[in-house]
Amino acid sequence: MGTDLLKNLESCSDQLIESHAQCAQSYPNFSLPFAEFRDAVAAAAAKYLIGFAEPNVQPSPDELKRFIGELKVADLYLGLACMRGDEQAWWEFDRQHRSFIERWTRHLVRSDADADEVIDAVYVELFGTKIVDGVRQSKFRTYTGRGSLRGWLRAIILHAAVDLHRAPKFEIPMEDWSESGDESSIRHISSGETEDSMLTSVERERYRTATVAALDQALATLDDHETLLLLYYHVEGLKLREIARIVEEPKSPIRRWFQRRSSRRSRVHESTVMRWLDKVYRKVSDRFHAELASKHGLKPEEIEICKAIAAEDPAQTIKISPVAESVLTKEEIQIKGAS
Amino acid sequence: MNSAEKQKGDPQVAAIRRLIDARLKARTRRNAARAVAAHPDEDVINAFVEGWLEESESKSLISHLVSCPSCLHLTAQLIRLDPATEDVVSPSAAADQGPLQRFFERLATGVMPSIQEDAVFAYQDQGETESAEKSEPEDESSKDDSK
Repeated sequence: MGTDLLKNLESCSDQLIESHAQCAQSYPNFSLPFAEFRDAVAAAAAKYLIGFAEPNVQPSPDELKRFIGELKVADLYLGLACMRGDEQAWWEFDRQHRSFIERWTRHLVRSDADADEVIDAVYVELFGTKIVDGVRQSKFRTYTGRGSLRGWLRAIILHAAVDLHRAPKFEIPMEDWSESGDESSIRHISSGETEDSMLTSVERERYRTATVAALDQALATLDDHETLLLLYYHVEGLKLREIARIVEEPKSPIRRWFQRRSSRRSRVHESTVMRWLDKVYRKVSDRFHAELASKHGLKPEEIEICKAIAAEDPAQTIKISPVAESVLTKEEIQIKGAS
Repeated sequence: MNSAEKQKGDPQVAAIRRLIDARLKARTRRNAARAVAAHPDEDVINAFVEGWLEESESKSLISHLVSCPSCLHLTAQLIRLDPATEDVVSPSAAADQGPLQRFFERLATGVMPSIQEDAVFAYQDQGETESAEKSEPEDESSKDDSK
């Protein structure tokens, strides 16, 4: 841990003492030494303010104060006491969170027997049965108070449920989406007696390769935030209101990024996200067309052929991608999922 | 005409939307087959989902999410949860044998995993994270139909 961090943390000692005292007051049935509380806060600051920051950047005293002010100190205090193995703390944890753990687990896992197994596994993990250098490795050691203890538990439980079930994640064959979309206009181009039907296989391959390369290039121009929201929408199937919710989170970095690119400073609704998506589609579309025209030297009518080929046979288009050699086939996906 | 109808009505946008959809799904599958060195822990994932990370803190995480289907899926699952379900108070189980009591009893009777059995399940274990994941049940009836 950096000496600058520790030095700056000293300037926050009053804040830390006060936070610790409030926690102690909230939990009179057990106690946690101040030194352990302070060290945990220091570790959290090192993890987030140094670990995720640019190299050689140290948090200022003001940044540290703000960081500490945002920590869920009561949750951290409880977690640290549980990590020490304080039985009273465990009972308090159980009182506060057991019903939530059970409810969330049963929401994720259908059978009662499986749910019980997940719940037991979570408690084992939280308690920790592995000992390294004489220290029991409780999962609570990874909780920093940066988010709520309950939210952290949700993630722990979800992992445990995934570990238990290992259900296939990607079961939908690529071909499926072409059956569900409103693609009549595109299909009209490709299904009729057009020049497309007379294309030789060599030409089709050329157009397919150009299409995928141009699309990848167009997608590469997006920044990670844009790509992430597209992935949430298209791959994970999040609804617009769910995306709106993460963009709406007051402190969400996605919200701040979103607002910088939007003229609106007011509340984000589904329609806002829809309009944003529309802009991204047009941005990709413009870039996609530009790539096909400039880099691949295609004429407008050839670009239309590219789009028509992709629309009539998207899975095949993906398979020929030079960067998609490891893409699993439908059969491979099913086998993988079944194993 | 709402936005969804506008999108449907614009063949140019509709076509590129379908191309993007297919391409992103294919790339996600490809990435799923790749080994990822290290994943963010639940503490970071939760801080991100709850909106506590500063932009500087979330930069590397967002880069990770766009290339790691496991973590992308995990965050999507957590986002998808309706927060309202969290506050429903379940019937008191004070008299029941809860998991903590079960845990202590099993510990006392020696049926818990021993320390040699490596009972700590670190998320960084690639073998665990590469496994396919169980999807949360979802009400498809309310799904936006513009995709």
